[in-house]
Parts: sequence; C-alpha cells; structure tokens
Amino acid sequence: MKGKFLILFALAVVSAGLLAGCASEEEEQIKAAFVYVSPIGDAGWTYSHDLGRQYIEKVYGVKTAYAENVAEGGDDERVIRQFAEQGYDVIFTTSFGFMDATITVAKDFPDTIFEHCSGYKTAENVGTYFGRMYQARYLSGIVAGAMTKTNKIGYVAAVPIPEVIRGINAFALGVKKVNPDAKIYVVWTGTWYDPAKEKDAAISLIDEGCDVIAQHQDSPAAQQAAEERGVYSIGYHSDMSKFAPNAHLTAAIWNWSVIYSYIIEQVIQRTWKSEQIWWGIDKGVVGLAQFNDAVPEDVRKMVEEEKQKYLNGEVPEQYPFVGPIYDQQGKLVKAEGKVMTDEELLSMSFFVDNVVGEIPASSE
Amino acid sequence: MRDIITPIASIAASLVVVGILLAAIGINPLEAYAVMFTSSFTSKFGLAELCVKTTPLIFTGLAVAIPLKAGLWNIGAEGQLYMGAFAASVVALYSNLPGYAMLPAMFLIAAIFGMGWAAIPAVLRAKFDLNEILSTLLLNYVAIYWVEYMVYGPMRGKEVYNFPYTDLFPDIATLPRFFGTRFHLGFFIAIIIAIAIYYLVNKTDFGFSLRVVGANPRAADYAGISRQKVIIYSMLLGGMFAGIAGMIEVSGIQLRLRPLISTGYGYAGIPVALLASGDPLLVIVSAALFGFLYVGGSVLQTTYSVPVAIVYVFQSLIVLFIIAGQSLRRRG
Repeated sequence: MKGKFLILFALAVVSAGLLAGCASEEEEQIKAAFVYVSPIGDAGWTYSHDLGRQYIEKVYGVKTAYAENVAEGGDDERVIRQFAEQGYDVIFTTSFGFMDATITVAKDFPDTIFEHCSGYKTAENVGTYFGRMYQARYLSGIVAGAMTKTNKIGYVAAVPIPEVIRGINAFALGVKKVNPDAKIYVVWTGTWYDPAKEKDAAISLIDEGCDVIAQHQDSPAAQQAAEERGVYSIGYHSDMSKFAPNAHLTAAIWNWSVIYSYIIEQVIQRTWKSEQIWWGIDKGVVGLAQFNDAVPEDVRKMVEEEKQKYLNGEVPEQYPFVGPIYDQQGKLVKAEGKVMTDEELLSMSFFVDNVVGEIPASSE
Repeated sequence: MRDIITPIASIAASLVVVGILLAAIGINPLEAYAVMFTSSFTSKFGLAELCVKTTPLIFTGLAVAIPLKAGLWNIGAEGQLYMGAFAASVVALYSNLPGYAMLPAMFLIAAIFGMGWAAIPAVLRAKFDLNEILSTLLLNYVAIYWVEYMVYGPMRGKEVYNFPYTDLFPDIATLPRFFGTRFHLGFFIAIIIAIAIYYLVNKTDFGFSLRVVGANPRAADYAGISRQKVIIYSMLLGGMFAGIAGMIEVSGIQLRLRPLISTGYGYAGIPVALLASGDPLLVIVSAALFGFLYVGGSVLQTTYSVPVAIVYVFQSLIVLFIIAGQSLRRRG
C-alpha cells in the first residue's frame, strides 16, 4: 500500500511539474523592440517614445529593447531585421523614413508584428500609428494668441515636412481664433536637434519683437532663450517647464503610452490585427501640459471649451482644418464648412494666412 | 611584415581597451565580441549586410588612398559621393533611357560628377597651392546642401507625401540584388575596381610618378615628373571613386535620393585608407573591417540596448588606435 501511494505521489509531482512547465511556456514573456531615428536624450521625439517604451515595460511586464540613432534608408533595414531575427514579437519603428524598410522586413517575418509610426503603408503584419498633434497645437495657439502683447509670435521650426507645417498651421489657427491681428513668424533651423541654433533662432525672433516663442524641435533651447529674455514660450513633445519655469506657458505634448498600451494588450491577448491608428486628444495621445500660473482663468476656460468640442464630438477630428481656410496669398484653400481630408493633412505644404515666413524650396 | 603586424596589434589593443569599457557597463566583452562575430559571419543576411556596408567604404577608401599616395589629403569624399549620387539620381529619374543603357549611364555620370567636384580643389592646389584639406572639406557642405535643396525642391517626388525624398527609381535604375538580401552588384564592382587600381598604382608609369611625388616631391621635379599633373590626376581619380560610391549607394540601397544618403562613408574612408597604408588591395580588407564595426555596433545595440554613444566610443577608440599605430610605425 505504502509503495503504491509513493508511486502515485511521485506521479502527481511529476505531472504537476510538467503542467507547470506547459503553463509557463504559454505565458511566455512578450518581447517588444523599438527602432529610434535619434538618440533618446532628455527631451524630444525619441524621448517621448521612450517614455512609452518604459511605460509598457513597467505596466505589462513586457521585455523591451531599443536601438537609437538608426539612419533612415541605410541602416534601418538591417536593424529591424536583427530585431526580427532575435525573436521579438512586435517591432515599433518610430520614424516616417523607416516605412519601406519596415514593409520589406515584414515580408520575410510573417509571424512578427510590425508597427510603423507616422507612415501610410501597411501589410497583414504591419500596422501604423500616429497622433493628431495638430489638435494640441491648436489649443496651445489659443494660449499664445491670448497672451501676446506685441501681436508677434515666434515659431522655431525644424524641417519643412508636412508634420511640422501642419503643426504651425494648427497653432496659427488657434492664435487667429482669439486674436485675428497676431502673426506667427517662422524661422527654420533645418535641423531636428541643434540647441545652439535653436536658441539663436529664438533670440532673433525675440529681438524682432516676438513675445511668445513656440517651437518644433527636439530640445528645449527655445524655451531657455525665452526664459532668459523674459518672454513667454510654448513647449513641445513633453512638459518643458523645468527648463523654463517662468516662460513656459504650456506645451503640446505626446503621450505615446496610450497607443503602446493598446497595441501591447492586443499582442498579449493574441488579438492583434493590422490597423491604421491616428488618434487625437479624445484618446489622450496628445494634450497640453499644465498651465503656468501666468495664464489667466478666462484663457484656460477658452482652451477647455475648445478641447471639449473634440471630446464630445462636436467637431470632426480634422478640426481646426475646417473651412474657410486661406493660404498666405489669400487664396481660399478650403471653402466654408468643408473639412480637409486626412490625405490633405498628411501632405500639407502651404501656410495659412496669418503665418509670416516661407516654406523653403517649396515648388509651389 | 610590419605592414601587417602594426594594424593587427593596434586592433588587438583596442579590443582590450574597449573590452574593459564594456565590462564596466556590465557587458561580458568576450560574449559581446562573439555576438558581433556570429551575427555577421554565420548567416546569409549577416554576410550580405557586411558586404553592403563594405562596398561604399571600399570606394571612399580608394578615394582617400589614391590622392594620399601623392601626398594629398582628400577630406572631400563625402561631398564627391553626394554629387555622384545626385547626378545618378537625375539620370535615373528623368532620362528615360532604355534598360541596357540606364545603369551604365548612371555609373558614368556619377564618376564624372565626382571627378568634377574633386577637380575644384585639385586645380586650386595645383595652380595656386591652396590647401586641399580645407577646400575639399568645405566643398562637402556645399554638396550636401545642394542635394538637400534638390530633394526639398525641384526633385521632390510626387508619391512621397511632401517628404523630402525623390520618388523611387524605376527598376531598371536599381542594381540587381542577390539571394533575397540587400547584397547587390556594387560589391563586385568595388572589388574589380580595387584590383584594377592596384595594378595602376604598382605597375604603370602613372603609378610610379604618383608614388614618387608622394614620397619625395623634389625628386619628382628632378625626374621630370609634373607634380601639377599628378596632383590633378590623383584627385580626379579619388573624386571619381567617391562619385561612383554615391551612385552605388542610391541605386543599390536607397533606391531614391534623400537628404541623408551617407552615414559618413566619405569621412570613414580616411581611416580605411590609413589602415590599409594606401594599398588598394588592403583597402578591401580594411573596408571590410570597418563594415564589420558598423554592423557589429548595431548588433550591440539590438542585443544589449546599450546607448548608441557607447557604440560610437567603441568605434572611435578602434580608429584612434589604428591611427596611433600607423604613426608610431612611421616613426619607428
């Protein structure tokens, strides 16, 4: 009897062990890789994505890896392939220029999930995601338009691609909403990350009389310039108030963790399907940083009212790109009540009428 | 023998120092080197990518090495590469040439533009004794901004959502690829050209005068060798190789023109040429070593998620050791 019992016990232990083995195999840890176009640094585009990476690692226990400063068109395909070969379940490629490489590698790894940020090409195992940053830009424009005394607002812009131009226009439409007399003065740096150049550009705008400085760059240099000169500024990417506590009115910020969580949950539950995500302020992917004490109550209220329009569906996602919209030459681009299409937003290459400055080498 | 021993010793020394650094950030250096090695040499794609990275470095290595034989520093391979890429792209996108003529025409025009870009500092040096280091370096910026202007403006594609790229080249303007990888015809072209240049330098009169001018300009004068001619020809040859590198890069890898087509291949050509002591055949070997460093560097990133700065420190230390080793040898 005793012998039989022992054997049974041994069998039970072994089978329990086997079952445990199976179970742990089933709950295999999900691995996610991120391919970044620039170094992570302490502010900017890649930094904001890396916050999202850290978030899913912490909240979902996902194992993550990243490669930074990967050159578009040359090294991207190799780096993406290396991650795929190392068995990552999902690979996020976070720059428009990674689009073709992502699609090419995805063909060779049909069981790997690829997510490309800001592009338009998809496949069965390739989805895209992006945020409607222009909505937050628009709201930040309202703040700038209300706070300027000189009616001159500076904008330190990086590189004339549609995303940047769209941000400037949305910002300008926000300014126009509350202050039709104010103009937005754009200076191009031609670089994404060059703090010295950005600061020089901001200072030259301040010298011309601009008393609010907005920017589309990967560093807070423009904020620091505003702080030094005692004018206001609007940050971008992340809350930059620690770099300019007095000057920083608010910032148009990314919260990529919203999208990364959504995707990772699907990957974990094995329900992932290729889709084109382009979410806005209603989902919380973009938003405004906390207001500076200098922003008066009525301005905050105005911003909140406009924000609510997005949240309760009163305006289309494309808002403020709803006609009438005029370009710099005074030509009507969108007639009264007409809404610009996503396609038009993604390839935008004109300035609205209250922007002063040129889009370099634009063929129009 | 010392030609071989010095570079090997300096590479070994750099591996030791970098190994200490890797250990300091918690990475087992031997394991890291093993990962770098296996990822490049044990798979089809690893080998293909190694060749892909090596190809432009062979050309830019030659672009530096040949003028260096004549005692000239061509710091302008980067700009010559961009001009070659630009010219090749114009032909690819707008010439409507038939298939059989397309690639040869792109090749030729890239060679001519690379040469033309090098001709400016060559003539300035030969006729007015203007320092070629400065002129070649500064012309790089002109070439890079020129390409930037073109892709933001006149050459911007119709199907690129207003991003600063040209449209993709037609298939007939792209180099054939093999084995389902990015390994392309350009690699063979690079090898053949390197071998041809080896003969040019070592077996021809021109090669002889090149070496004499480089070794002892005064002796060249006595021997009746025209220094001006040698200066101009060697720079033109250098520019030609860099221009071809540009064409190979856009038609083999990028398949379109964009603002950034080279990750510093032109500058990397300088240590490539130095490590090879200017020998065209050794340029192939040292280009492969640098290609390995590039590919291995990104493997370190994907495997260990080390900051890219560490990878750059790693690569620069190796370059530093190589250059130090070369100058020690020259003294010794």
